[in-house]
This record gives sequence, C-alpha cells and structure tokens, in this order.
Amino acid sequence: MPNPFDWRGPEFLVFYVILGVVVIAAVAVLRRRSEPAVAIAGPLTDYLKIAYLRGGPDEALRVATMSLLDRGLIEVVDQHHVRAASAKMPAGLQRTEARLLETCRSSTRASAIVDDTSLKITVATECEGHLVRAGLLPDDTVKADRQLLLMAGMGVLGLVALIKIAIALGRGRTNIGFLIVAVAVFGYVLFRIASPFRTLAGEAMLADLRQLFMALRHRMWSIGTPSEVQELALVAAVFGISALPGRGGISETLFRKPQSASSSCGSSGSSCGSSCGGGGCGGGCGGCGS
Amino acid sequence: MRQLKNDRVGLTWHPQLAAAILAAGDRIDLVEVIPEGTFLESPRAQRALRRLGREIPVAIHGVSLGLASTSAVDERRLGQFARLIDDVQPDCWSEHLAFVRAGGIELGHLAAPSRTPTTIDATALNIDRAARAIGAYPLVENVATIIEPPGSDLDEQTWLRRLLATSQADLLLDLHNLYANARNFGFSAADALRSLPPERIRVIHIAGGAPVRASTGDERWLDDHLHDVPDPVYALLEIVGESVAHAVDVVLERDGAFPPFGHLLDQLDRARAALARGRTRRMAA
Repeated sequence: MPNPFDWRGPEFLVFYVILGVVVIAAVAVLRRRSEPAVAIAGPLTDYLKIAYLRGGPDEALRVATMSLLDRGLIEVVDQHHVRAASAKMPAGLQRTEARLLETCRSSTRASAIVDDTSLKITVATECEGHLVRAGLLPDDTVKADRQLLLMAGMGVLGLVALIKIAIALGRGRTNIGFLIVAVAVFGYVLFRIASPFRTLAGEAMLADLRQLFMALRHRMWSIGTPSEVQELALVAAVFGISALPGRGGISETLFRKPQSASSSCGSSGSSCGSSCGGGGCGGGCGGCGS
Repeated sequence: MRQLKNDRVGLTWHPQLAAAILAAGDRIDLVEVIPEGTFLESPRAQRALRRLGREIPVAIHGVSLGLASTSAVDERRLGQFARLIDDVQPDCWSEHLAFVRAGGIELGHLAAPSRTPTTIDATALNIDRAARAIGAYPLVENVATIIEPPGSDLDEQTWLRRLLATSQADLLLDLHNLYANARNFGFSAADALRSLPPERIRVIHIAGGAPVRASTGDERWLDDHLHDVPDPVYALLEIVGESVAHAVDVVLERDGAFPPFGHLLDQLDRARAALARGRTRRMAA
C-alpha cells in the first residue's frame, strides 16, 4: 500500500485537499447529528430576538434603532445621526429600546450605537439567554461538543501536515508553502463549519420565518401607518433593515461608519475628508487632488 | 374538529400579511391556510406552517379536491392533504362543495354542482373517501355562484340539508356566499340560514364582493374576497350567534387589494361584536 508521506509535493497536495474535504464533511455531518434541529420555543413575534438570532447584537441594535425611528421615538438629525424625539421615556419599551433611547438623548452617530459596548451587553442580556434556552443559539454543552469536533478535525489535518513537513524538511526539501496555505484555508473553513453562530434549530427558525414572510416585500409599499410599526420591525428583523421601504435610502446610509481621511482617501488629505464620508472613496477622492 | 370553548375570530393566511398577523396575535384567534400552491407542495413551506401552528391555531382550507363531483376525488391529492394534515395537526380541515375539474380539464374555479340526489350521493361518497384518507371528516363549505347550476332539481338549501343528513361532515357556512346567492337568485339569506341545522355549523366565513354585469345585462353579486364585508353579512352573523348553541370559528377571507392591516382588524372586531350581539339575544330568549 503506497505511503502518502512518500509522495511528491503535487501528489501529496491533492491527497491533502481530499483529506481536508473529507474531514470538513465529517465534522459538518457530526455537528448536524449532535445538535437538536427543533427549537423548544421560538420568538416568532419578538423582533429584537429574531434580529439577534439573525445577526447578533449589532444587527439587533440596528433593527431596534429603525423600529424606534418608525415609532417616532427617535428622529433623524442628518444621514448619519439620530436623537431622541422627546425627553420623556414612553412606557412599555423593551430594556434595550429604553437604553438605546437614553443613549440618543443628544445627537448620536447611528454607527456608534452599534459599536456601543454597554448597549451590546444590554441587548445580549435581553436576548441571548432566551435564545439559548430555546435551543436556537448554542449552550455550553453544544459549544463544548463543537469545540471537540473542531479540535479533532484540526488535529487530523494539522498532524498530517506536520508529519509531511517534517519528512520534507528532513529530506532537504523546502517547497512546503502550498501545504501551509492549505492548512490555513482548511483550518478557517473547519472553524466556520464547526462553530456557526446559530444552532441547527436556529437556522431552521430563520428559514421558517423567511418562508412565512416571503411575499411580504410585495406589500411593503402599503405598510407604514403608525399601527403597523411592529410589522415593519418584524420584516427588518427577518430580512434586515435594507428590506424596509422608502425612507429616502436612510436605512442604507445611517449606520455607515465614519472613515478617516488618511485610511480611506489615500493621498487626498484632510481637505477631502467630508466629501468622502459616505464611504464611496474608491473614485470619489480622485477629484480632491490639487 | 376540536370542540371549542369560546367563539374565535381569525382570518385567511396570506404571506403578504404574515408579519402583521403575527404582530397582532392578541387580536387574531386563528388563521385559515389554503395549502395549495405552497404548503402542499414544498416540505420547507410545510415545516414553516408547522412552526406557525405552534404560534397560532391553524385551520387547513382546501380548494382543489372537488368533493362535489360525480367523479371520485383524486387519491394523489388526498395523499398530499393527508401528509400535510398529519404533519401540521390543524384544528380542522375543510373543502368546498364544488367541482373543480371535469373530463380531465381543470376549471380553475369552484363551480357549483348540479343540485340533484345523484350529486348528493356522489359528494357524500367523496367526503367518506377523503375522511378515510385523512383520518378526519372535512368541514364542507357552501359555494357562491352567479348562475343556477344547470340540471338542478333542488334548491341550494334543500341540497345542502340533504347532504348534511347523508354525510357525517359538518358545515363551514360561508355567509357571504349565502348572501351573494340570495342576492343573485332572489331568496332571503336569513331564512335560508335559519333553515340549516344549527348543530352542524362549525365554522363561519365572512368576506366581501362586488356587483358585476352578466352577459344578459343582469347584475350579479360576485364573491371576490377583494372588498370589505358588507353590513348584511354581519347581520347574518348575528343570526348565527343567536341560533347556534356551541362556539364557532369565524374567518375573514381577504385575498387581495389589501387595505392597511388595521382595517382588517376592525372587521374582525365587527365580526366579534356581531356574534356577541347574537349570543346576547340567545341568552335573553
């Protein structure tokens, strides 16, 4: 029986790629088998938890901001800033919404809301425990099982690569670059496969919501009355804020992060700063050169 | 069908209304789902429907079986229904007293059958076949028509009463269909309603329609599900509340030209109020 470690570089690389695919497939299958596919309960009507399930704390904060905007509790100052519409704190808000409203007492850059660590902690506290208990996000047991699978997969791929590298170096060959790249690529893919944000049940929940809400975009034009803001929030939670109708493109620009002149505009310098703020610096900055 | 403790009011599920229905869960007691076109064919959609059923009571309402036909109901379609109903476990399932295909041609329409003793027997046979395949009798719904079914020996109510006497299936009474037929053929919808056995009425449909001009120049009332529920239908619902002793489900059918969702919720509230008025009269009597 041929010994793969005796194979020349290209042949061994082919073997290694096949091994990598097999290991990744095995990890994917074992992970799917080890996780329950049915949630204990689902937050089918809680927009904040659905948004958290889809995109984590950042996305939940984005959707919550848009929901407060739709409800008239915060208002747009300019294309990047928002502030509370009134000093009064209305009753019946979720904890995250109330904290977000406090943060917006003065004009606040919307992208800073998404980056605010204390807000992230608030929304995580409000949503994550519920989603974990419902089986939609991984609990400690699921995380430990995933870790074990990841370590096993990485162990197999790493060990095989290490043995081959040792043999190659021992034989005076140094053409091991492609193998190192393959190890890095497979390691990254393995990590993504073994440690997704959601559980299988969480994926199924999101897929079901997308299926149930599939045709909603056709109706978006007629939504927008004050009584339907909860409906809008659910749509944004399931599909993202870009699915929201109208608003003059505010949902696309509001959360763009500020870009420093030096990093984004190359040589155009400080005089170009404001004109590049929209994030489209690829060609826009060219016009600023003197 | 599950025995109800209280009257419930809901509406037909449409994907365009999905978020609104879920967001207004406190004002909607149930949803009625037409499975053809999505849920019957797609396992993924079926799973989503199962999920929906955990959130809000679901009733399955078929439009393709063609129970009121002298042809035997299609076994393949029955199999699809059986799998769906077994998977989703709805509160009940229902079908129309109509034929939808003949001689291999799909009509694309819920056509009223000829009202004869023969179609009563054939329909009862089809209902039994469906019940055997699915494990539960369907609720059967009266249909609207703008022409008197050719070859009929019986009027609609007699045909319906005899069918109910022959079959174990209970009635899904569509009040707008009754109203439309009464308007089109000149009989009293209220008298027709009172002539039906109240103990067999389980679910009520309400809907809207519009007048259309027939080729003869006559005006007909079309059950199009695109308009608001007319006042006389709420009056019929009051009669149901008065004459039916047990709790019923009331479902608003709206299939397009959707108004703001709050407007549909207002119609559900009106239905609740009409039913409650009828219940009050029953208590007082």
